[in-house]
Amino acid sequence: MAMQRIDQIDPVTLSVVNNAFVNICREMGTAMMRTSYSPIFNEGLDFSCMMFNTSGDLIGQAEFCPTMLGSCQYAMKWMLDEVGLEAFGPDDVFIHNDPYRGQCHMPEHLVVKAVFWEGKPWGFVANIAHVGEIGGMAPGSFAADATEVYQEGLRLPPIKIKEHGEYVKDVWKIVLANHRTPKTSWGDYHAMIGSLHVAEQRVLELLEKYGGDFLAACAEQLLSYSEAFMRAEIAEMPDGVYEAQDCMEDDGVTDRPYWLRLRLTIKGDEAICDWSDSDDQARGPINATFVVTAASCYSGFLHVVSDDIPINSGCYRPIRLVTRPGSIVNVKHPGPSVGGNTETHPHIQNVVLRALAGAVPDRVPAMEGATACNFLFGGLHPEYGDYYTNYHIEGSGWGGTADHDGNAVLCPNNGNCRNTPVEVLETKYPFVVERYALRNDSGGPGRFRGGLASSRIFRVAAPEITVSALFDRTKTTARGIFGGGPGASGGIFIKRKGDTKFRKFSEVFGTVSDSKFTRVIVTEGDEILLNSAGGGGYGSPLERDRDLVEDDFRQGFVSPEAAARDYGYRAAG
Amino acid sequence: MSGWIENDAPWYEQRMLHCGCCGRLIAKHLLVADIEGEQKIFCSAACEQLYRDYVLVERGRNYRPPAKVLEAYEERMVK
Repeated sequence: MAMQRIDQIDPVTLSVVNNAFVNICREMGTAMMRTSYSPIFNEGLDFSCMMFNTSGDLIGQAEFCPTMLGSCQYAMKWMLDEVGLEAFGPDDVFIHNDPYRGQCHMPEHLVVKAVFWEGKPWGFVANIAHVGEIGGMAPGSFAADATEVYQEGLRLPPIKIKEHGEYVKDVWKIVLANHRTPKTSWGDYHAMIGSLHVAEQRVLELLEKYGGDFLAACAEQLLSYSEAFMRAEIAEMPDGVYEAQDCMEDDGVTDRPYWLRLRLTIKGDEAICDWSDSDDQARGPINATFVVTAASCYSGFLHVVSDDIPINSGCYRPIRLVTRPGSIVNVKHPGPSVGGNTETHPHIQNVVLRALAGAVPDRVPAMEGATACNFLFGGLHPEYGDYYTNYHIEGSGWGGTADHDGNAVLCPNNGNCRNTPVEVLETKYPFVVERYALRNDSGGPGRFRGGLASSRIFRVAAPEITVSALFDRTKTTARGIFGGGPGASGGIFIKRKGDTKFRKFSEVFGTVSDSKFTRVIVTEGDEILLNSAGGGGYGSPLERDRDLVEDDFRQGFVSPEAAARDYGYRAAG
Repeated sequence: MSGWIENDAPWYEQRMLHCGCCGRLIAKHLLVADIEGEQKIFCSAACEQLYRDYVLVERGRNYRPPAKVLEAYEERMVK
């Protein structure tokens, strides 16, 4: 093959290289899915795979979780700044989960391996994954009433877990001694490390084909191309200042809302996301780290610009951030942040999109449900005898848009996770799923309706299970836009064995918050109801196509009462 | 005038140093600049420039949200 000049790489070659990077990351993901132990990995796919250059810029990624893909460059750059490029040797693997060193929240672990070419690092292959149990004060490591980071689990700065291909055994011993389910962690960490080996092989194949300098030049040009493309998209938006706000309903510790406020300035080909007016940080774990806020802003913009922009560090550059350390969008040490990544992130993104509604109204959706309905549980399995934990999430309704209804029961916009099949849950854990259904009337009415939420009932099938929960949108609703109505709020409720109705956890167990609590003991026969939140509607519901209203009515998505009240529709007969 | 320095904390200690513009934590290498007689630290030259061009102009030093910020945002937000 005739080699191109580095300064004259044609667009076809760039596209081929970009697609190769994407496919390497996809293959990493397949390897992780097939070799991991926990359902949050192999069913939920709560991980992301990526490639970096030696400066820590993201050069390749695939269709994984936006929160990880937007934040990973910060974690990687921190790692390089703290330990130095020279710390990476052949077959070394580093790990890092510290929210005070550029990570999203404690469960998210970054593992990284340098790819060596001609005796020196050419770049890095990496993944970030939600390790479902990392110690801390609650099984599942999602302490909804934590008041400091030390309660959330074992914090790892950038350290080697493999050196020249060998285990750094002392580190593994410390890590696994602090996890409630060390066998599961062992398996999941090996899935993460194994995927790095897969990616390394593929990158070496590319290096054989193109050579190190040419491939690095392609990566650099892709970064420049993405930056230029994003700048061009922003330049087409009208200059101006656009403001929006939304709130987290409480923090699990004190019963008050916490406000996220954005002043978005579009000026030329740059955007400034200024969060200075947001509330001070919370005592409880709903604080976002800086990188979570950054990822939310990037993802918000990516929702409204061209799909053709290759997603890498380049496209993030024109989106600038201003935050106050010690605010809810940039937690200061030792504040907790485990809920900031799953709950606060989608709220932040909702605010970004609402601000963008002032600039590009036809491209933004109404607000989405924006809660992952985090439900954590653990205990001794009555049948298998092992200690188990699990991190369970639910999908919410997404906001209606200018031309279609919101997605129903989809992972909030910070993630791209799948639900876990009922059969898997019941096989692995002592719960029986008594119901899993769409909630009618949960989508905000609109010309395009908000997406529906879900309803699930777990019945406890063990002598006891320790549960924790971190929800939001149980008292607030996802707002509609341009005349659309709000989505339904969600909630978590319990019906104790012998009781006749579901009640709030505060009523039964005296928790401070109904949506955020830790280490509640439930017993055999108890039932737990998880309702996720619906998305907001777009446009006036009276303008909704009558065929769509009739279809919603026929399918049971909208009740007769709501059809009449919100859509002015009465079924014949 | 600005210059890059290295965080001189010993290896077993972490100092929490936040960029004066974007607010992110800085690992090791920080940019120190004199801004109107006050020494401030930044994670990059781009953040130093944004601080001068935007933060100082629009927010001023040591900005705190005003009292009726909730009502103000509610009024200006797209409904």
